[in-house]
Amino acid sequence: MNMPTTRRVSLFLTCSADALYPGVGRASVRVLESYGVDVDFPEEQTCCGQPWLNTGDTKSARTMALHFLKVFERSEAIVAPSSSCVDTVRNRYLPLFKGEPKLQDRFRELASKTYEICEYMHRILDIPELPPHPEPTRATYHSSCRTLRGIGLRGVAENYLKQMLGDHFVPLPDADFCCGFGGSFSVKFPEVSGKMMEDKLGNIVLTGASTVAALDMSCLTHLSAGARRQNLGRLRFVHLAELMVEALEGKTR
Amino acid sequence: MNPIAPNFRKASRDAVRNSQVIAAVRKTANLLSEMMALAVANTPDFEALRDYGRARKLEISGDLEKYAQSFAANAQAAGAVVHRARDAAEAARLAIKIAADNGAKTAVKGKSMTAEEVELNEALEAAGITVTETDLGEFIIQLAKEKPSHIMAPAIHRSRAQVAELFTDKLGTPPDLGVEALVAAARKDLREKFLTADMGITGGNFAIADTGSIVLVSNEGNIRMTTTLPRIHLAVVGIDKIIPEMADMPKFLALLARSACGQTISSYMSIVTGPRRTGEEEGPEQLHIILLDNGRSRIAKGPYREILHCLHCGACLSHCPVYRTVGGHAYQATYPGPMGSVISPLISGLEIYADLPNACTLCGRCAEVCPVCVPLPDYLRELRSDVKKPPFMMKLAAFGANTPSLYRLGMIVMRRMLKKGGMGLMAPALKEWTVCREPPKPQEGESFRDWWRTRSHCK
Amino acid sequence: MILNQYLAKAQGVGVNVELLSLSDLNLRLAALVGELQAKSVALPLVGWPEPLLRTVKTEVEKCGAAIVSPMRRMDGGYEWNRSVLGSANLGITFCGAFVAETGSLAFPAGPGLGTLASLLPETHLALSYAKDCRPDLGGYLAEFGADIPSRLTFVTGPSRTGDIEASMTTCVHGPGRVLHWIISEGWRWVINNPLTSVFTLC
Repeated sequence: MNMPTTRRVSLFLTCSADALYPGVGRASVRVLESYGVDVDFPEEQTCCGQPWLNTGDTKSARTMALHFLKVFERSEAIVAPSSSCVDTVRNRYLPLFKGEPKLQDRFRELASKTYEICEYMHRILDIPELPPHPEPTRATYHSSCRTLRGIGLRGVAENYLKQMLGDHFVPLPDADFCCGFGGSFSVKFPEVSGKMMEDKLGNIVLTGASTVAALDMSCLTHLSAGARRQNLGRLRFVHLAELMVEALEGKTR
Repeated sequence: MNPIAPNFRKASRDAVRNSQVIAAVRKTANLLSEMMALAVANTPDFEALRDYGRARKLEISGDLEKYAQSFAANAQAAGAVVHRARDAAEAARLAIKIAADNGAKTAVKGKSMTAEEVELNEALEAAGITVTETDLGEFIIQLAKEKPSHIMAPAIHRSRAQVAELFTDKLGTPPDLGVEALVAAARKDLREKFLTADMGITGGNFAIADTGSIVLVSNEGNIRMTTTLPRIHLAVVGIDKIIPEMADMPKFLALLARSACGQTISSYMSIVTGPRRTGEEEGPEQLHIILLDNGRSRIAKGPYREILHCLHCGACLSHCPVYRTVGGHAYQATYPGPMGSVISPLISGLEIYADLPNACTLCGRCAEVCPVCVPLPDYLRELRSDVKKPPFMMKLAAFGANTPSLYRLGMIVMRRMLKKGGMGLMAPALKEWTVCREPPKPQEGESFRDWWRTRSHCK
Repeated sequence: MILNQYLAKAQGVGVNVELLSLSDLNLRLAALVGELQAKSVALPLVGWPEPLLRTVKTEVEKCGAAIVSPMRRMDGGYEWNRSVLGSANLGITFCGAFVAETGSLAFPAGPGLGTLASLLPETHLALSYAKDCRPDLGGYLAEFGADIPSRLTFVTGPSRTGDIEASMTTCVHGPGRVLHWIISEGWRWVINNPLTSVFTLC
């Protein structure tokens, strides 16, 4: 019997949304549900393990990868509001299990169904257009290294932003350059990290934007914290999903 | 050996305060990147070239000794004298002996990062041999008694005004000369030295195994001078520079020229196969080639083998956001930037260069532009696990993060503390965070998990 | 046509390249020597095709410039007198092969074919025959087979550097001006623009 299949995704919340940005989690759920996707949230989820991977603690990273596999293996699809976490699951887990082909197969399967939310909307739901935002403000987009080079997503978020904001969307100069966060780099070499952050904030100020959207809350945590240090607290840093839900529900939160 | 223990934190902190150096570095890095991008865009099969370059280099790094022997045999057949140097000290000893055996007291030198690696100038000077750098960038830093800060453009950190001041001081030129006049002054000063030097020293961009040839590229003409005028030519070449056949050379040249300077080919290319032959009117009487190992055969057998494929084009440096923010000297290593952060710890030891694999945000730009697809970010990440055992706090945090109930508790605690404005338990790490940032600010309202539980109950 | 490709490439790298007929050569040489006020000209007197060398030598002498040439040695080789060579501000060499793919002049080592004349003076003039154009570097290298000369030099444009503030400057250690005159008899090539060449029978 041919039944219309509802898509089902499991939300991977990510640490930053868990601790700092509940709005990003809520927006992700609402956006997916508005397109008829069934969303569940496995409560046993924790962290993808990226901080341990990138600081050379591969043993701990393995343990966390295995936990992630346990929690999400049976999901139809996994969607996270974070390019860096998705990059970790898709590209960084496999090398941790060299010489364990059965596990690698399972991780390969996992990788094939893990998406960033904007990516999911574009590549899987095939959403061609988003409705206009009810109260558009001048906004720009921080493309983030993991969005560009980890999951290979170029131009998609920018298109959605143009659709929602029209002429209020301004591209960011030197978008290809890292914002300076780099995980542990931000606290190991804070002066360099700070200078790179200043350059990025300088470009944001040049655009005249009051809102900065991205697909990586880790970058935005670093940039917004730096913005507040530099008296740029008026800048609003959001995940793209937060703007999307405002456009889809016709109201600003 | 570097007398100062490298400390990237301190060096980078000082570097970011020097806005003049950052401006100079970025100006040149931007230009080099733009030129490369243009050249690559005008080369329809560049991606295929990159794949070819990597594949061919894998053949070589898979059996360095075989290719080294083949090169040595063919070079010798053409009349060159080939010396194998296990390490930097041996290379320096060999160079001094070659000079001494031939009564060479003065030398002119083309740019060579390999010679920098073995600190050749210092060794020769200590043995009473005067070495004059002839590449303009190297000439400048030699006058300033500095080390190169970029593997392709050594004086990238100096502005024109600084160079003019340096020339006035050391060469007696009029103050505040423009670029053309500065170049003319260098030409004049070096011309005499070229004509009278006993020995010419170069590196080698490529060494061709099947013919025993050395390929040297330059834009200035100093390499041609250095390899034509003096009676002895000494080339110092790492065994990783060897490529199998002459037929491979045009493709590798295509990769190097575009990635280094955005060119199809440099102004000058010399393919040197042995010294002057009977009947020829110019060229050195003797050609000595020092084939340097210095850890390369060890690296070839390990997990970081592909770093030996590096063409020394400098593209990764010019594109690296960290290098562009601190310049080359902050790395306190012969080779700075992304490729330097991999090879410096491998050659000199992880204990010395423990910082460098961490001096990187893993942004991935270097891997995107590397002409031979060296997986630099992967290597930098892996080197981090080689450097030291993870700190106990990280292990503890991993345990907590991997236990769902502890993790959930941890999130709640963090959220509460940050709402209050403090950093609480994380204060030590976050002391560094607050060097340039305010503490992270949580969004208002209930946590996501609470929201989810409420709505699940309502359903 | 590969000659068109060469012309475009060479011009692109800053070579002053032209097609001439042999009959034009005298006038052009005279003009060049006059323009440079060359008192001495570096000109290897061996390694050239005879008729071409004769024309060049005669014309340079007619302009009153001294010719600096490598001297014959006992072993049959040639040797430059370096101090005299240094006084020449123009070097004229024969170029027996040039490469379209890269816009390069090729100088293999050989008697009288040394390249100091193309390196030390500030202006270098290379003379070639149109038929000696090669399509690509790989093919040219393959011509040597196992018989690579001791030195194979490729010259692609003038000497240049960007080492000071990335500001491109020419005439560093080698010539700042490179001219390449290609003798083509029988056909007169009129270049409208490097990419679309119109030619008529001369």
